[in-house]
Amino acid sequence: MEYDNKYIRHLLQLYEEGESSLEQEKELKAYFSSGHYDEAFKEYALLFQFFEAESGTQHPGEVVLPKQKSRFSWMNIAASICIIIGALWFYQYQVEQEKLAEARVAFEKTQNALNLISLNMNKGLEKLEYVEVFSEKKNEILK
Amino acid sequence: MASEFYSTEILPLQDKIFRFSRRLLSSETAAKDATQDVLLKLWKLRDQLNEVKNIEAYAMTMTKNKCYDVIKSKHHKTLELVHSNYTNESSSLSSQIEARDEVSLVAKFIEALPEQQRAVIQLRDIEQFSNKEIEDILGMNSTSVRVALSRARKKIMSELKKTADYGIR
Repeated sequence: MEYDNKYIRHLLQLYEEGESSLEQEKELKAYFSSGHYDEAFKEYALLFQFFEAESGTQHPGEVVLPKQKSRFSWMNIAASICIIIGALWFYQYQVEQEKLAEARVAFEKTQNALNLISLNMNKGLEKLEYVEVFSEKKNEILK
Repeated sequence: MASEFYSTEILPLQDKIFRFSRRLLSSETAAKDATQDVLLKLWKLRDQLNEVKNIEAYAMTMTKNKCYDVIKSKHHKTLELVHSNYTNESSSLSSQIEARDEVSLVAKFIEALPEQQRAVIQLRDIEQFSNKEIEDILGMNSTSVRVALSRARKKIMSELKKTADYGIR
């Protein structure tokens, strides 16, 4: 777009007086960023080029926002509590089962030992029968 | 949804908020902190933002208030001020090189302006707010906005012309 120097000068004057409209300032920006401006306005070009460059600056930081608190977070908390309770209960159950198994093993061992004793006792008893027969006979003779 | 409104309407404003606070505070780090604070404040207010008519101007007002608070509290911390002066001196070489860059020359001249004129220039010439919006943001009347704008522009231009005449570039 071709611009007339007189027109630009008029716009710049309005600009300096603070009377220019946003549209007129846009025109000036477009004129100076095109690169085809008159040398007479080169200081103005610096200014408008600066504005143009500056308006492109971005926020270099990262926006840190607090974590969103909603129903979901409550559900998460509830779920984790459930899982913990479940895990504890399961652990206790496991420990109890182990204790029971140990007791059963001990019981069986004792039972085996007692059986062994009683078996040997019975063997002894069989031998005692001879003694009984002997004493019966002895009584018969001594009568 | 308020949070959806926040991400579509507020987050895109973060660059503007950052630029405005950097202009007012003349420090990248301080501007980053201020931007973060303003965005957080807006996040906390997100449920009420629907009722705000001009959200951009609202965010800018908030930024202005935040920056003025920072500037006020900075005046009490003299120690910190001395420290920042010291670092400026040590990097004089880089600032010399920078001064040769014509575009950043403009930044230097804007920096030298009074606070209010800097704010007006930033809002009008960089962010392209209307005079009415600037009146609301800065709490000024229409005449003082126009006067501040004109003074700032004339001052920058006279400085620019001066350097051109001296041939310091």
